[in-house]
Amino acid sequence: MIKIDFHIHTIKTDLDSAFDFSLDKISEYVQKKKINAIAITNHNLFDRANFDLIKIHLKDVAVYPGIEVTLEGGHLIVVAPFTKIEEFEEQCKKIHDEFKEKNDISLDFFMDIFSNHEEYLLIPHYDKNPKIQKFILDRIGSSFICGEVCSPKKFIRLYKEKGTLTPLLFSDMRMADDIPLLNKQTYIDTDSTDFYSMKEAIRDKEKVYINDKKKRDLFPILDDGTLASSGLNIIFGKRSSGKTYTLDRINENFDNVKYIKQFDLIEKDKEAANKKFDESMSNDRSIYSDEYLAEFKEIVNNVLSINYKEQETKLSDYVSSLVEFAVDMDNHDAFSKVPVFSEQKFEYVIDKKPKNIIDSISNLLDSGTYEKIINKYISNENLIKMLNEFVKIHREKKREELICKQANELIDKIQRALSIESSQNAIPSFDINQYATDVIKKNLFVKIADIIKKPKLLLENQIGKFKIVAKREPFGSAKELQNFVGKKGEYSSSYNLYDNPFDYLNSFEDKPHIQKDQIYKYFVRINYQVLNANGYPVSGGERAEFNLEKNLSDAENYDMLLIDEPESSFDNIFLRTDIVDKITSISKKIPVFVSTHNNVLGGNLNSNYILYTEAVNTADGTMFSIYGGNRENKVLTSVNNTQIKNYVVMINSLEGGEESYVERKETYKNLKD
Amino acid sequence: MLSEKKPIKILKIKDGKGYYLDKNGNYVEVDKVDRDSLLYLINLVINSEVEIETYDESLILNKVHQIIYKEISQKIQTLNTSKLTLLSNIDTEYADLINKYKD
Repeated sequence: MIKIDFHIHTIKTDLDSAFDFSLDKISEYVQKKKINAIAITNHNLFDRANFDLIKIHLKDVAVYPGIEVTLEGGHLIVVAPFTKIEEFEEQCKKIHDEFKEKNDISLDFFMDIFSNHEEYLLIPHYDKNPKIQKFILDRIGSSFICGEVCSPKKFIRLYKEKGTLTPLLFSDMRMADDIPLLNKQTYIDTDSTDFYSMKEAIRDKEKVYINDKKKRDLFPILDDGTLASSGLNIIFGKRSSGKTYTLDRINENFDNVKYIKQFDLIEKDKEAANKKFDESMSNDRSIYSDEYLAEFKEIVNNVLSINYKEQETKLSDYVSSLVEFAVDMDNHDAFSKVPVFSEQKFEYVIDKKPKNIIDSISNLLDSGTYEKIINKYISNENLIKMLNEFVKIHREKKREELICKQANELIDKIQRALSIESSQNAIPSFDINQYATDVIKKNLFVKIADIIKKPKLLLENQIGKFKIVAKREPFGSAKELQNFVGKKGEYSSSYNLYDNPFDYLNSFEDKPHIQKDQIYKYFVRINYQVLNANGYPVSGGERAEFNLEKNLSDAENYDMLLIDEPESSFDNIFLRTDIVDKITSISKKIPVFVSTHNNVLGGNLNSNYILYTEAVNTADGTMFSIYGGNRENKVLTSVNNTQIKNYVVMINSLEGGEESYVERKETYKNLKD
Repeated sequence: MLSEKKPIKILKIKDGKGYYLDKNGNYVEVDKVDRDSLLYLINLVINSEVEIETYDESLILNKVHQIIYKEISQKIQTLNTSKLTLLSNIDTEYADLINKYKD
């Protein structure tokens, strides 16, 4: 068996967040994880110097040249044999240049450059984002023998699924000094790290594993080879036997892990707990409120950016000039009598539609993957005809715009020249279209501001026995408004205008301590709270329960869930009625590890696998041993092949030993009788 | 034999007065000009070949006529020089796109 990782980053590209490559780290990685072969796969880049440096440095490991190509939005790893390195380098240069220009590589370009792709190993992102699109798999399907997955669970699922590619699990790590070394590699059942031997073995799904014991449902969680189930694992052990230590190590070895630490959800100090909960709620409220009010914010800010007072003054000046001009008709001189002297300029409204349509047609013509579907309904020939017609319309519109602009310039010049000579004042220009648009904006704002104040239930989200409820409500008083704004000042004059949105809006503009871009928040109160099963706001103990429910509710977005002794924070009834089923259900989707010595959890959780930790005092200090095995196994076994009876582990961990279990059983029996 | 299209005369000076061509094909005294007539003149400059009689203060006696004739003739002269560039800016927009998809 050999262990490989064919997805490693060593150079920061535009697709990576910042990192400094560390040669020591990659060295530490292959040694610590006992890896036999790696491939260097930077984004759309193969850097020969960097590759050679690594290859020279890692003498005991087979280092292969590779690249991670952004192919039609998805990612594809290409690994080449050493014998092809010169040609591969040339091909990668072309990929690099094309990506630099277009930010993506089309399938046609890829096929053109890598016309010999069958000589390489192609590993598409298969059950991992960003996935290679299905049409690519269909088109060059025969060249794909394997696909990359992002977690052990997905590896196991894909292995079992018929008709799928051979799954491969790789670290996808950026080799920098400060990163944890992940346990994401693949074992191949072959003796050689020769490119073609490995490729041949990968062709056969039965020859790949994620552990060296060839166990199909288990994956290595620690560097010593300790295995665990991809389902539900219970970690037992006495106090200070290394349960938390084990969870911490698992957490270090994987990415995208949700780790609920002991006492994490509960504060011993009541006041601190309340404060923490209130802060978290306030944060959630703020996120929800921002999202809900996003469009309203835009309207408010738009209205705020228009100077309505100035507009009114201009309109009034314009009207009085017109009246004056008309009344004074008898006194007009030869200059002011010229018709163009008193005329307004042309108002030309730019019609953006033809331009938008041209962009849309162009998108349809450039649809790539979807061309066939589009052509089912409309031919390219008709699209091109339509494109030509709209370009013609667009150009005509542009000509009209040009002519109007030039005419307006001329009108302006003549008016200026005449008014210098005339005793009459010229009529000021006034853009009536713009004024009308601004008034429409204002009316729309008033309408929405009135609607948004009406009480309404916005959100009702059940999380376990709790409910997150969001309501919108009007501010009930100036005091309420002031509390919400949270700044000193006089708010009753504003609040008195609350029924008149436009005046209310303007009333905040004079207040120096109010930020203009925050005014939209002062129109409605978003009430966001957590209610218990009886519909009341959650109390102290319930808050911790809600925190656990909330943490579990999004756990499936992660690749792994770790929970350290939940019984330290919660009572048995809550754990049994609310939590046990939830954890079991999550473990169907991602691996779950629960450390406990609680018999409700240990007894009721239908775990797949047991891990038992034990502290052993040696001359070198305290060492931790871990025994593992399926729940129904008679014995649990360590990586050194030492064994311990499962029955003893269970009865000691859950019942405090056999003697106390028998005693307790007797007591219950007597009480019942 | 190819007949060359004659430029349209849109401004002229006669008897000490300035005249512009209106949309009915009549020459009208420039002190009657309104914004629609100016738009029509600009339209002609952009879309056809036009010519004007150059402004000469000594030939126009009326002050109002002088002002208006001078402004219009200046505008037409400038536009005549820049119109090719302005039109080409419009016509080259999307030219690449049209070329890409032409037969």
